[in-house]
Amino acid sequence: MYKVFFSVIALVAGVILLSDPIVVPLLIKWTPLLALGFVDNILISVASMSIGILLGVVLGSYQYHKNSVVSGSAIVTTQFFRNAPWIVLLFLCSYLIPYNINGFIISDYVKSILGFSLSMLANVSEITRGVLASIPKSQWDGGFSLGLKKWQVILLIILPQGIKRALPPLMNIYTVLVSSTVLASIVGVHEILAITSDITAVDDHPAFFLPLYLYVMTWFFIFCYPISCWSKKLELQLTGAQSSIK
Amino acid sequence: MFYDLYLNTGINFSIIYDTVDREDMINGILLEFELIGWCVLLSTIIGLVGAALQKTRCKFAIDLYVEFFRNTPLIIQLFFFYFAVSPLLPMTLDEFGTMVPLIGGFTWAVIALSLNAGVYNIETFRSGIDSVSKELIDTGKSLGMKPWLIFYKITFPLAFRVSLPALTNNMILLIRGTTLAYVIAVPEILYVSNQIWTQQSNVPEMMVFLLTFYILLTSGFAYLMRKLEKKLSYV
Amino acid sequence: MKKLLLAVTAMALVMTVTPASADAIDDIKAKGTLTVGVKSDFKPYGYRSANGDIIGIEIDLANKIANSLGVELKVIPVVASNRIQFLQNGKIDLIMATMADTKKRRKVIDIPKPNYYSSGPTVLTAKQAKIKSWDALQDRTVCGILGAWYNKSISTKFKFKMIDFKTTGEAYKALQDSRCVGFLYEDITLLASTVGSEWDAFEMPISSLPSETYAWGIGVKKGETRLVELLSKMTSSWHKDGTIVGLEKQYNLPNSQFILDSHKSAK
Repeated sequence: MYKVFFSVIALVAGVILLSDPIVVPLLIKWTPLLALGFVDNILISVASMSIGILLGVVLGSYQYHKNSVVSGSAIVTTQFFRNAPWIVLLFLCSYLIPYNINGFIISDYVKSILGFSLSMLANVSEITRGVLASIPKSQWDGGFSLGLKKWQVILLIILPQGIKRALPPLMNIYTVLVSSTVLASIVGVHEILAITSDITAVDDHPAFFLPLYLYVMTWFFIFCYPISCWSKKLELQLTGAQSSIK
Repeated sequence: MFYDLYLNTGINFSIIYDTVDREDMINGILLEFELIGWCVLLSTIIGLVGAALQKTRCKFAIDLYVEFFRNTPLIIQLFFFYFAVSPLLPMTLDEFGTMVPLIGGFTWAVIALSLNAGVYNIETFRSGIDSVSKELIDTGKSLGMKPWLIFYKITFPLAFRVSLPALTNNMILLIRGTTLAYVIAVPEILYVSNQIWTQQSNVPEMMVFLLTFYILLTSGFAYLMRKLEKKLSYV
Repeated sequence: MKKLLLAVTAMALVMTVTPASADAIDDIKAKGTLTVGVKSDFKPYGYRSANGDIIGIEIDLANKIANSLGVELKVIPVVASNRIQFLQNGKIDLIMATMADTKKRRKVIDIPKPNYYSSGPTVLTAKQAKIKSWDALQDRTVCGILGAWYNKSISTKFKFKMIDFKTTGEAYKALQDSRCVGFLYEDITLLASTVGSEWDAFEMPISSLPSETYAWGIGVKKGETRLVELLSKMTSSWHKDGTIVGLEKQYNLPNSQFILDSHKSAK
């Protein structure tokens, strides 16, 4: 993992340093502003992921509900929001949610979090479904045979196993989410891509574009790659064999 | 009929009753299919090639490519190719005698999307190949088969079949990703929808259309892949 | 399949519901702020100063409106593809963002008369392309802004292809990269934005079409008659006392014919 990590950084640094000498001072000048923007991206991802997990686990477990109307709606909702392109969901939230509800102001920032949450809850619902399906029925039976009530079985037996199995796909979808938060710039959030556009409007030196885009992409790489490595490690521990696809 | 709907209720599906909008949208849909077709083809090839080179010296370079494209935003990759890489390429003359960039928006979109999706395909095919049990390969070796023949007759068919579900997932991700091509002015359906909703001010109607379209598209695609899966499992 | 159709229909019905609102003037006075959607990339009507604030002719006019209502002014950057939606969902109270007054728009929002400004689209072309008239653009590729209302009418009339981008920065870059032979945009802002040596290879040889010259309108939410009346009166007074004539001079623009004519006829 370290080999890949440092090689990528070295390659990008090499390209930047080898380009027009005007580039490096410009990148240094704009780094603080870019950093502030990147913090927004991360905050949006954390907020959306949290909401997504809370609602998604509930929705996912409802896919197994006894009542077929409930489980049917849960399945339809999950598939609906899973298959919708993220940018369309963002436009949906941005245009159709009013700015002002009884004095509460819903900013673009909040709307983009809602948009991402919609997609996240569907993905988490699907992950939950997969995890629940993978836990053998014998675990449930064993718990009941010990005289435990349903909520106790869930809390003491199913949940610990479930969380362990859910972690790798959850971490995977989180890295996808982080990369996708740049879409929020299209609906008006002032995050790192919007700031990059502002920068290129001011400093539009032709040699600057390539290093600038590489620079910004590398920030995402530095944040996401360790997470995806960790997730692979967890998966290996779980299966004890080769890592599976997701 | 839809025009009456508009006049009476204000629900405006101009893409059905207005000839210009309808034509634009149909062209957008056709372009979308073209884009998806090229990207599915190219990204599958990238996936196969990348996975096949898994045991060779190129592995590290492929790892670098995979990890970089996986962990960076697709939209920035699109901008990167269209605005940053393109000016570095030689220019060519168009039919009017002016110097123009060598590669246009649609092609860059295909390149960027395929490279992005190819990454997931490489991972998928790698797992598929690894899942082919060693005994089968040893059997092939003991029969005197050359390595490439083993790959062609044993490894590839099995690996492909195993990879199909995950491949379907990757392709659905790809289909969802094609909407982003609109930021480099590729006139696919989101681009056309945006043009229409600013003229007609009918955002909700266009949203319904977009969501319906993508759901039908991905469901249809998933259905076709499942059929393919069933067919292959009888081979 | 049926479940799918049900879900889609339900969503469609939910989406056509719009929130109700009270009288806009009272709301604005109660809030103490007038929120106006303006351009932030359209020199000199709405653009960013060196320290990041949005300034320009339209911002100055918006300030006058805010003062007359006795409230503060807040400006929000908008673009062609989102300004009407922001007005409708309440994010902004007014649109003063170089918006063309068209019949289609009057169906969904209100626009006070008289119009406060006017301009026409023209093309910023690359000198090497040797475009000297609208007809010379036939079958060529022209850059534009996604959502500009004149794109469709002009490109169909003169049969050229358009590639549209979300922001002017991207469109200018595409023009510089020779992806198109010209950039279809407002004549006045093209003039103001293209100073500097990197624009030496470009020119604006074509004059705006009289048929496509259009008046600008202030965007008001539909049904707000009191606000529309107030703005009508204000615009008339601006034309009468030469406010906009003065603003054009202040921002180093040649006085446009429309403004001079409006000033003369208002006296």
